[in-house]
Amino acid sequence: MKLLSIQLSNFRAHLDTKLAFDERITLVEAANEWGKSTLLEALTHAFTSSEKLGKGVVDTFRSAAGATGSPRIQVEFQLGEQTWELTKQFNGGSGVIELKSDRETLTGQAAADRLRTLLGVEQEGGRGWSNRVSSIWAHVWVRQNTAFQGLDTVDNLTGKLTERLQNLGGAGLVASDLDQAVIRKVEEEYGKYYTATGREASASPLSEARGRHQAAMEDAQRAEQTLSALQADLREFKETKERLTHCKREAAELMERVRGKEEEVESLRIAPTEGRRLEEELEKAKLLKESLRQQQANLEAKRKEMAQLQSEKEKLEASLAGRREMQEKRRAEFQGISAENPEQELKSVRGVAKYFQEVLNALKAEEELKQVNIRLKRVAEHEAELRAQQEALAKLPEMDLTRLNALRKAHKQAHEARLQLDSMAADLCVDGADLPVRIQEKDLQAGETHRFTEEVVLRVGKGVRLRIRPGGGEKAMEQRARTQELEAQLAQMLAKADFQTLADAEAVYERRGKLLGDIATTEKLLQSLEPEKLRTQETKLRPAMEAARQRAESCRAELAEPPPVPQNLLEAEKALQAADETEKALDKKITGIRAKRDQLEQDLQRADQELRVQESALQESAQQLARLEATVSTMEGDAGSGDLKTRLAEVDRAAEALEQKLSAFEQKQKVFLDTEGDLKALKQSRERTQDKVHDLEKKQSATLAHLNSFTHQDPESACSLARDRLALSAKQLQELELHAKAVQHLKRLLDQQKAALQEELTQPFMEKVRPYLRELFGADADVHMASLENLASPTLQRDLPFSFDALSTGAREQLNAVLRLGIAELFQADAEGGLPVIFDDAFVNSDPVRCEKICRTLRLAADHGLQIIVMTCQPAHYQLLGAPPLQLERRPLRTSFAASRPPERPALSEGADEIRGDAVSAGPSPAPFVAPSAGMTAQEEALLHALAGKAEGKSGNISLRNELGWEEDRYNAAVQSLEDRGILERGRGRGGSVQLTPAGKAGQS
Amino acid sequence: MNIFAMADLHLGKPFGRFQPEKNRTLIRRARLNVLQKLPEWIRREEVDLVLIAGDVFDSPRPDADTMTQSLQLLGQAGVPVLLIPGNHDAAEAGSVWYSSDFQRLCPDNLIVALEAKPIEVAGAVVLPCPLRRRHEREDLLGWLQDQSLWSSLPPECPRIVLAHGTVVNFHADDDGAEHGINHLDLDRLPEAELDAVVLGDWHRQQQVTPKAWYTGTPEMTGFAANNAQVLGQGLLCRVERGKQPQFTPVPTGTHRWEKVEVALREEVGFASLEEKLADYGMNDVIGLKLTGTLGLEDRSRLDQLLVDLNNRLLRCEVEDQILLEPGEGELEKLSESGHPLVAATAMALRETQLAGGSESEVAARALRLLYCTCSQLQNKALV
Repeated sequence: MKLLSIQLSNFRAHLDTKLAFDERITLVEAANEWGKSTLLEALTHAFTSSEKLGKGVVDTFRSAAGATGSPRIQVEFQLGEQTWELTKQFNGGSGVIELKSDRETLTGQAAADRLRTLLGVEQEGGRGWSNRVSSIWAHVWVRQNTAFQGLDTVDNLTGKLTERLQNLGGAGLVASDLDQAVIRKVEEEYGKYYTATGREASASPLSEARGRHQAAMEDAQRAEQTLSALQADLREFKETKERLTHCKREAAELMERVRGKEEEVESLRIAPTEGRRLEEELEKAKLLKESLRQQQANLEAKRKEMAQLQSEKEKLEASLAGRREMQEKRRAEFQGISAENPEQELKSVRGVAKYFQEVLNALKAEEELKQVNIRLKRVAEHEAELRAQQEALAKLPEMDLTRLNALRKAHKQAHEARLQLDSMAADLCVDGADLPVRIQEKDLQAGETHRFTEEVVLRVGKGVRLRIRPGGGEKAMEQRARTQELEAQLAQMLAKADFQTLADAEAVYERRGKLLGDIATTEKLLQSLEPEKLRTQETKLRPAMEAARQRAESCRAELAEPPPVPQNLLEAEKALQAADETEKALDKKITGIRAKRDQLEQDLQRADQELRVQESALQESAQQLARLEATVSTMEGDAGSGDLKTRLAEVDRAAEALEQKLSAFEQKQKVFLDTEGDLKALKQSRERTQDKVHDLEKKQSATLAHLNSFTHQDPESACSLARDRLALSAKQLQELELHAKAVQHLKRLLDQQKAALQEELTQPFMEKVRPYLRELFGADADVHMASLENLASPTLQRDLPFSFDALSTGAREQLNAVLRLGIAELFQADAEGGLPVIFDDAFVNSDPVRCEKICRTLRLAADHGLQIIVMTCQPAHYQLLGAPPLQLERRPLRTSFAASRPPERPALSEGADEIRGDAVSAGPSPAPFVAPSAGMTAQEEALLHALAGKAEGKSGNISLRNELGWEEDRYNAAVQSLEDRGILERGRGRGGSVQLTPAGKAGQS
Repeated sequence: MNIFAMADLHLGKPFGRFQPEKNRTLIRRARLNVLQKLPEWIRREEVDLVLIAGDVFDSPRPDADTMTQSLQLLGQAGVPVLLIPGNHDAAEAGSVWYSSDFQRLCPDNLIVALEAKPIEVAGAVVLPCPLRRRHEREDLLGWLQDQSLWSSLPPECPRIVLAHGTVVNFHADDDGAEHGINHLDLDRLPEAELDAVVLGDWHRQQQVTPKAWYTGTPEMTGFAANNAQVLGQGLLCRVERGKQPQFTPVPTGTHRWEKVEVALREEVGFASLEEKLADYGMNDVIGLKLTGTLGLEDRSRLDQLLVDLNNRLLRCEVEDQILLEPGEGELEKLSESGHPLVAATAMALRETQLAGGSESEVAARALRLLYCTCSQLQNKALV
């Protein structure tokens, strides 16, 4: 079928609108609220509504623009080769239908029947046919705001599709009746065991079996516990019994041992008096021993004292003897000292000294005399010398300084004159001569010079004779003369004085001076020797010397031991000095001896005194000793006839014997006590063992009592029973599990097979869909649905599978469009050339780029023979369609339309009732479209439509909002607005819900 | 004199694997029934003395019902009854033998030998070897090796040894035998001094020596190896001092315990199975071991048969090792019938089953399920 044109009169906004459709693609352009959707609505009414629609509905068709005529729709369409013109004029019961071709014109029921036939709808009563048509058209005539919602599968679209596909593909049945029955049976069985999600059902036979098994397990466990408690008791009983036996044996043994021990104790028992007696005796012996020891100690002390005294006495005696000896020594010394006679010696020494003094005196005098004599000799010598000197002086010529000076003056003059004469002399020098040269007859040799002051004759060789005169002439002569004169004078003077030369005079003068000096010296020496004094001394000394010698001789004579005579003064002096020293020493010695003697004398006296004291002490000591000795001897005498030591030894031996006895006794006593202690310990041990036996007996009887508590409980049987039951339940469970697994397996397999068959079935549909899909989503895109029942929620497969819900609204409306094109193509054959596919602003959620793809897709659909009608307010997006946009022109009516509407719209529900009763489907199934009510926003309409699609027009807020893809504000505003209008009401429930009011439901029809 | 000997009654044995509960009650009751029938046998065989060689009770502490009922029944025997405790009801501490209830209810004719010492009863000397504990390692007959014991016995009375345990060097295929404990060395006994040895513990009746017999259990408690004994028996024993004793088995059992092993094959197996089992009834306990292969149809029938057996028999213990091998046409029938889903599923299951592995068993089971479901649905459709 191809739509050729539509003409609307008095229909809503359209007073008179005519629109011709292109066979392939028509683009209708109109602004919002310009009646695009009305076109779609009108088409629907034309094909599916009765011309005798109720007045209420028809009133809503009427143009609000004030037109009075009945609403009229005229559609021109082509089916096969035939062109038809369908006209419907709505006027309540008097509505008119006319179906006209170039061959015939039909009206009334005939027209309606023919129309149904033309549309390929079986004649099944008025309501059915329109439903069938509309349900297909609901998918190919896409209304704004529903494009993105999942395709409605109500109205048995799936069934029709299946049927169609089976017709098309020739595929066998998806499932036979048996198949279906098997599936039902298996699902039934599966349902017993598992939930729809594949989890194990809570009350399945399996879980019951598990419960039973669990219970059996617990029973078994309990039974085992009881049994093991019993066994533990038995074990304990056995152990206790063994221990008891052991203990009893032990007790018996102990009893035996106690008896033995008791006998032993009896045998060991001794009279306790024996011990006391022994102890007393021992005590006595000890006392005696003690007293003896005391005595002995006393004696020993005395003896010790005596010994000490003796030793002291001896010491004293020794000391006294020492002292006496010392005293004797001292006395001897004193006597020695007293016997010494140093005065005598001193005297003799003094005599010697005197002698030596006299000798010395003599010697000194002699020496002095000798000296005087020596000097006198020298005086004589000096006198002789002086005489010689005076004689020598007397022999010498007279010569004094005046004379000498006169001589010296004459010499000087003569000498100077001579020098002056010499200065006038000439020199003759022979450089060389072949001939002998002679001057004044003297040969001159070559190189010789000859000075001359007078005229000389020079001869050269034999023949030559020369006279030569020096210069000066006269003067030289004078000089010569004068020199000779002076020299003569001098010689004269010398001669006068008897001298040869001046030098002789000079020597004489000098000699004289010397002699005179010597004489003076000698005279002086003589004078210093005082010759007269010496001579006097000599006369004095000689007798003095003689006197001294005589005195010395006399002294010597007096000396007992005359010393050697000193030979000289030095010896005499030395001897004297020695004698003096000896004397001094003697003097000192005498002083020392005297002091010592005094000291000794004192010492002697003191020592004597001490001696006396000591002697008396010694005497006393001796007396004391004597007394002690007397005491000791008394004591020794007191000790009795036996020696004290012997007695002590005897007592000791006795005590020792006693002690031995006692210790033996004590040993015995100890053994006795030990044995007694052993007996006690044994008795205690026996008691303990008896206690233990008692305890064990108690324990045994307790255990036995406990064991007896099991009597008739029969834990063994209970356990065996529980085990058997556990094994049974395990087997049953295993069987059931296998069964459940088998059911599950079968179910899964059936599902898989079913899906596979479904896929096979849907293959032709998918083949139709795929070219569009790839055009729109790319070459790799595919779409999957488990079965046709999932048409509303296909899965888009690209790189990954995207469930329908996960897709954006744009993608959803595009995917839906693809599916719709596929469906349209599938039904093409039925509708002879296909159904026109109408998109009323169905891609508002797609961006311009996507719109280009959509255009290409739609052109592809047109190429496949589909008639495409696109209505939009944005024709720019659809340029690629290649169809010129048709302007839908009419006056905007909104204001007047809206104004003419009462806000509460009671008419709507009224009218809707009529529609429902008359033509369109009842109940919750959605209408093919929702009439756009005046004053409703697009959101409100969409919400209303979405809600109308729900069972009983009811939906949860959240699911509805998600379905619409709105934000909360937007959704809430729409709900609020609709609630205000009384179209929907809010319900309760988690997250809240909304529900169409009866009025709202009516309004949706 | 005539002695009726038995052993191993196992009164009070719970038989937990018997289901439902009424079956369990029946099999438990069977043991008491033996005692109930005892007076009849005593009368019939002119019995002077009843000897029970241990394991009268299944446990040392049987429940009060069991004890009370058994004591009453034993009291009705009319002749002296002498019993010894066995390993199951050993005279250990807290055991039934010492309980005040037992002593109160113990009938006059019942003698419980708790000690190993000769007892003169009904003109015979019984030499009991009671078990004081479950496991005794010493030779229980040891005390009988003492020559002075024998010389002290009255010379004219027949001497019967009563013991419970395993005879040394006697190998019998008995499931209940426990070697190494509770052993009995018959060879060491002075054979001439004794006239009969009555033994318990092995549930199968058998002769050990000309004078010694295991009495066997009067009512079976389990399957005997190789079905050596399928019904309980007592032992009638005629003894005179110094003469060879005569032993005669007395059938006492009600419940047959039998193992049945069937290797099934598709063609003949199933029919032979039905035939084989036709004889067994409500008193019987069957241990059914099934091997071989079956097709889907036969498998269904077998399942049904097993259900029937379970209902019919006292107990049918099945060891099902049958492999599922769909017969010719069975799978095809499933797949060709214009039911594409069932067909495809059946093929897939069969593949999984044949592939082996962990899923194989599940797949086989699922296949059976599918087949059953289809059959039922089709039968219903036919109806």
